Amino acid sequence: MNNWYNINMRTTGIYIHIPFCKQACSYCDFYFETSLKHRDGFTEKLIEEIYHYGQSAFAEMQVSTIYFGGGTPSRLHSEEWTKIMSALHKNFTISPNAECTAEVNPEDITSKYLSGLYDSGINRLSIGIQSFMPSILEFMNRAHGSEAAERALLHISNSKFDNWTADLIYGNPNQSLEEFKADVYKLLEFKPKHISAYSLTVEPNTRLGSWVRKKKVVPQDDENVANQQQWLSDYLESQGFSHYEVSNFAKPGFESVHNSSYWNHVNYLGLGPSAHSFMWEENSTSAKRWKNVSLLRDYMELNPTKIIQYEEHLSLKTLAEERIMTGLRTKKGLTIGELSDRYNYNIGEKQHAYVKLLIQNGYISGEDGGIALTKKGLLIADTIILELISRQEDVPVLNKQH
Amino acid sequence: MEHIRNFCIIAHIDHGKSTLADRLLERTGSITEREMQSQVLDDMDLERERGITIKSHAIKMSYKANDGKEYVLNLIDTPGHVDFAYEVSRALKACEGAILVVDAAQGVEAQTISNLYQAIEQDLEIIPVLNKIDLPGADVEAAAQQIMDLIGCEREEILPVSGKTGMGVEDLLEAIVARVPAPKGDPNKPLKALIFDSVFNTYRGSVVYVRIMDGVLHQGDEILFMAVDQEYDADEIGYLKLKPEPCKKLSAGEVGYIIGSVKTLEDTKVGDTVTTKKNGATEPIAGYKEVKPMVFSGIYPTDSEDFESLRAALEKLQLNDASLQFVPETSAALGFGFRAGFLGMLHMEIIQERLEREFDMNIITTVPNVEYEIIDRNGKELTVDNPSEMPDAGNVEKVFEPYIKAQIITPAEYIGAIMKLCQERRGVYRNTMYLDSSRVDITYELPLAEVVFDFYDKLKSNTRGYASLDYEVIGYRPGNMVRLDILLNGDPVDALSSIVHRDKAYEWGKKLCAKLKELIPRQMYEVAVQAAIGNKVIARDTIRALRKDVIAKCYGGDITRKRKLLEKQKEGKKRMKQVGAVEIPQEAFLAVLSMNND
Repeated sequence: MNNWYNINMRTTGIYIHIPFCKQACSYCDFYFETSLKHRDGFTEKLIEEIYHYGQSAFAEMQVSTIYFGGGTPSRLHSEEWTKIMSALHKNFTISPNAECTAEVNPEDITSKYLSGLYDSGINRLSIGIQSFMPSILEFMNRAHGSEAAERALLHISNSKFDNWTADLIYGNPNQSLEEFKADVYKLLEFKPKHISAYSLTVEPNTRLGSWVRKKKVVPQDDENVANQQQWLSDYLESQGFSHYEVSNFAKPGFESVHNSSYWNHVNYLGLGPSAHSFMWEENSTSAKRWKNVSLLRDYMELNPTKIIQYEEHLSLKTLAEERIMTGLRTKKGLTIGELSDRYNYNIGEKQHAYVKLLIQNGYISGEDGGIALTKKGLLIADTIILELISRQEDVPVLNKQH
Repeated sequence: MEHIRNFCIIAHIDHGKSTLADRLLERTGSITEREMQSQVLDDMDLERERGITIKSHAIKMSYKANDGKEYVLNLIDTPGHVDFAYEVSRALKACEGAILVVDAAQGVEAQTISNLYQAIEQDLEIIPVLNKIDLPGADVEAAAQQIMDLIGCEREEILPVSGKTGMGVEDLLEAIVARVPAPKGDPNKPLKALIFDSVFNTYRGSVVYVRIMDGVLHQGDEILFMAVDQEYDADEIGYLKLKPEPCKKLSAGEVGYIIGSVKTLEDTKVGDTVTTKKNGATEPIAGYKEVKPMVFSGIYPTDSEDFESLRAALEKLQLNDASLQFVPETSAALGFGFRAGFLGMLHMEIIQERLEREFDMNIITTVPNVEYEIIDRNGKELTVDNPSEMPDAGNVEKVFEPYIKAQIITPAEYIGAIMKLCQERRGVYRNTMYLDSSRVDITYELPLAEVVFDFYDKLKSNTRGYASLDYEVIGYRPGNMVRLDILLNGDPVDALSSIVHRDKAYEWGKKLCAKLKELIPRQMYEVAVQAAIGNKVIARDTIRALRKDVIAKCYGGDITRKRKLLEKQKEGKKRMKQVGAVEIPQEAFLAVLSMNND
């Protein structure tokens, strides 16, 4: 038995999807509902699901993080937060120092709402700012304007929340580097401990996707987006942030534990419509990932035992490839030792040669059996991950003993 | 013999030839409803999908006419593309009549015209038919007028039909009986049977489709294939119904098949004459031609381990397609593969598609070219069908390239557009002839190399589809040809070399570099794309290094999505070829073909 076993089998995170949104952002392809049709009774239904999993293997594990995402979790009322959090505490063993994050949107924030959240047990906020520029916010069809964003940040600064993060989106059509810099400078005035900055992704099933197809919107040139990302990384590092994942920056000790869990294959239980769950299986030689039904209507109607829409079984090899995929996106990278001990995955000769080539060309910094992408490498992480995985030779799989 | 009618159908793509054929089969009871599927005669999936006939087919029907007599109707289906012009001419020779099918909504279109003129030249009785008269867009009178102008017939000779509903099919059958002459031919003369197609059957060998022109063939006769001078026994002969129906003898005027343990299609060539070994004919039927490949290209397995499977697949295709030729070759860029010869571009595309679909092969084909004759500085003569075999410019004394005589029939308003196109293609103008007040026949002599790529498509698009093209090879002429090489980061990629005319090399090279820049994805390093003649670089482009390729979000559910994408990309990578440090997608090897489409 190696020490990965404990990590795989004893710890979990919980993700809760709150699908309500005031209005639809043009770029978003997460599951959300702007209609209030099935709003009534949602909290009760969610609590029913919490009780259902209170009887499962997850209840045997230590819960290290809870994360409310969406949609827009700040559409929930304060009483609902209290009910949901207390149901979680009744059904799971939650670590005393667990990181409990709620995504909030500027237009929902009042000082009263924040203190209600805090009292329910939430100790970290993630606020969707995206930009302070009115024209960009309008293009994104955000429900808030630039004053609302600043006002909300002011409320947060004055609240009991010390640990909070803000989302920014860059690489917007026609957005100049100077405009993006202005967004970053403005945000830093509020002294966030963490920033998630995403380059705009054009998802096909969104309004943005259709604009691009119809050539109403021309996406930014990769070169410009790369310049923005590079500037961001250099600047935030100069301000004391660590660029610890492709899109994430944190002051020391404020890295998101919950998101890091995804990248490290820590178990997670997803509750609410369209939420994904991940669990190692017996002996930690395989795992499964499953997804709840997407539609709120189905979620409300179905019994918790029936709400799984699909499930996939993941072999150690698949898991290893996922780990390479997520690990190489992080500053920490991964170690050859972890790949072999945890996933029984051995880096082959062709892969070694490729890593060596990347080190020579400044895409990877490799020390003591570790592989981590440099800043230059992070910019083309997808290419490197694909190349590295494709170079795996077929090696006989040995039976792993614990 | 007076109760036999041999005929074919001439039609433009989509004008409903196969559907009409289906109706004829139904109405004559040659096929039961249970056996019925659309386009019965088109065997290959590819034929059904593209709506084209690639091989010739034949089927025998029985029809009791209004005169109370029983007639044998042999429908001989023909291919409809210039690549297969020779097969068409042989199939027409086996007939006495042709049904000209015109879509009443579309009117006469050019593709039919070349075949129609061939049919008229061979003295076939033409029965004009207006199809799809029940369609809302049908303009029966306009289409009828076009037909009258085209073949000079009377209005009442044109039959209205609907292949869809079967309306008018009865009248058509009567017209076939009444108007198509019974076959001529003398059963008492020595046997002369014309091969108009042959197909390969794994168990029986080559199945030869013949029209008996003179004499009688008996089952068991010793037979001789005259052009190839090979003897066989006619083990089985019979009629071509939906399933073959064996018989004891085939007489002058009849259409049928011969099976004689012929192991290879090589011996049963379209256009050849079959006669009896004893008391056989002394002269074959006129018009036999050895069909030679005109276009050559490399075919390589994407995965070099599939070389043997590719060979097996090509061999299987060749069993049924004697015009396909191939020999092994190697390329520094692509490894082991084959150099294959085709009748034309459509033929090449069909072979490619069949390899991919029917044999599940992943292949890369290289830039097609024609065959050149070269005299080097030492006076040595070479035949070159592969750019890599072409000596360096300094060692070439003279190059000869094949020329064709192209006959283009077009409405007069497109004369200017056609002459411009031919001029661009180094054509030599020969002649214009007015067929009537609005239609002309233009003759040009053109280098075959200028025609094989996209000439036909260009001709069609420049004339809204109205022009038709027919051509024959007229021999070799001197041409100032050079080998244009492509270098990626300084390394020549042999599979991207092409043979081009010196005057066009500069522009060609520039366009090719630009196209490759578009097709080769950005790599982790900058890639220089250069075109060179010998040591002289004549064009250059740069593929900038990849700057950004990373998705923004990778959380809970994104992981599955991202992994699935990775798996797909991994598959896609198998279709790339590594040349030096540069990865090249398959399409790049055919960049030349898509160059003029922009």
